[in-house]
Amino acid sequence: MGCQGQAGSTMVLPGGKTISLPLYFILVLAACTLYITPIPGASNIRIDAVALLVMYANFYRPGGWPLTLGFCAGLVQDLVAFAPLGQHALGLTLICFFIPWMRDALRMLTPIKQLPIVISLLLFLKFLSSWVTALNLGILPSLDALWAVLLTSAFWPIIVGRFESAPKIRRASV
Amino acid sequence: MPSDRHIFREGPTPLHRAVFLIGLAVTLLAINYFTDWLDPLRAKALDLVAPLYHVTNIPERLSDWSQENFASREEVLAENQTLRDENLILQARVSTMTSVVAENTRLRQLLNVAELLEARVLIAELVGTPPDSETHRLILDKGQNQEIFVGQPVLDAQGLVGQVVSVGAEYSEVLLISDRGHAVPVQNLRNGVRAIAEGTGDFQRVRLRDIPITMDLAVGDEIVTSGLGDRFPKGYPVGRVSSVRAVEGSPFLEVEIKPDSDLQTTRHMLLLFSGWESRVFGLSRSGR
Repeated sequence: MGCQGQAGSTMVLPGGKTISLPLYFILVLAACTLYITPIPGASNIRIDAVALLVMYANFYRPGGWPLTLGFCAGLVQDLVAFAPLGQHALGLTLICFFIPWMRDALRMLTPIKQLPIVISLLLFLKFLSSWVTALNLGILPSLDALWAVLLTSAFWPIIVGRFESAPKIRRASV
Repeated sequence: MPSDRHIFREGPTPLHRAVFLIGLAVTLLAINYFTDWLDPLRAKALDLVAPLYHVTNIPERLSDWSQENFASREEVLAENQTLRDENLILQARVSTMTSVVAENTRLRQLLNVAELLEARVLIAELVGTPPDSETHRLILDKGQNQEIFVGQPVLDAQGLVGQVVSVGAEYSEVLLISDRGHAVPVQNLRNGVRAIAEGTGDFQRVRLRDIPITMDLAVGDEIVTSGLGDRFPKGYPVGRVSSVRAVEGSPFLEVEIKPDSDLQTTRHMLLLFSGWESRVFGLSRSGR
């Protein structure tokens, strides 16, 4: 299941420093603000910064209570986005549950090679969100959902490249 | 005294936690779908969250501010001239309308029909739009403190925009007429034919539902609210018929109208008060 996080902390930084719960939720609120910010000329497409934050925290900085934190981040996102309560919480809880199985394999890859997995997870989130909308209102998702996923995933290599050192693959010299 | 400390703490496994939290999320979704118990929470959240939408508007406001303050003298003069011209045209129209309204009132009195109520309006400004691309909603900067209520019609300068679906103390949430969960009773201004206009999820299209093939509808007809259902007052413009199509084998026409109001870009809206609000006051949720 990969590395286990420290109990009582939200994200573990290099050197064993941890991010406190209030600071984690300030980060979630900042991500929510980015999520609701309309993109000029494409107001239907939004960057799902909360999903990026939760995925980054779980892949690279796993702390204690990952599922509960993912669930709470989802609830905050639901409130900020005026979505039905539980819509984003359901998806984020599920990806927080599955990430430990793929964490080590993903971290071995370069940020660009991680993109297919990241896009798959974001698509899964979008699918769940659209499924809830379809149940509520009988609306099927438009292509905007796909563009939103692609735009969001474009930020993944930037985040990982900025905060993480690239994995070094050493070839045996003959 | 035996120690309670354990070297290896035992708690619920990740699977148990996941099942519990997923169950909780599904329960919340079910409560949201089948009941309106969470509506007060949403109304409270509106006031807490709306300031974040103000923050997201800062770049746009800065752009507007710079455009207003750094516009050249020529541009201001040109805009001033345009506004003068428009004002002249509107004054001419109003003078014509005054006689029409007076004549209409006389005719209504003759027919013993209840007089149309003078509507009281409140101007509200757009704060933001929720990020879900599948639903068409807006957040306005007026709420319960300004006597805004659920079900209140919202207009812009051109026509009907939608209705209020959730009210906080200082903010309110509006469902647009283009939302797929929205429907409004309408009638054709030309011949009085009544129908239901429902949203399509496209800001530029609203569909008329269940229109028989024999119905007299033509492209360009003006569609207004019919006043049926006591939700919207009668006679407010909704849009113009943009296409009428007969579908082979179907007894109904496919009729689409283009909304008069600019649903995507309008920033200032009118919240309509009149004598009928007491009848819709207290409705918990609309658009379902």
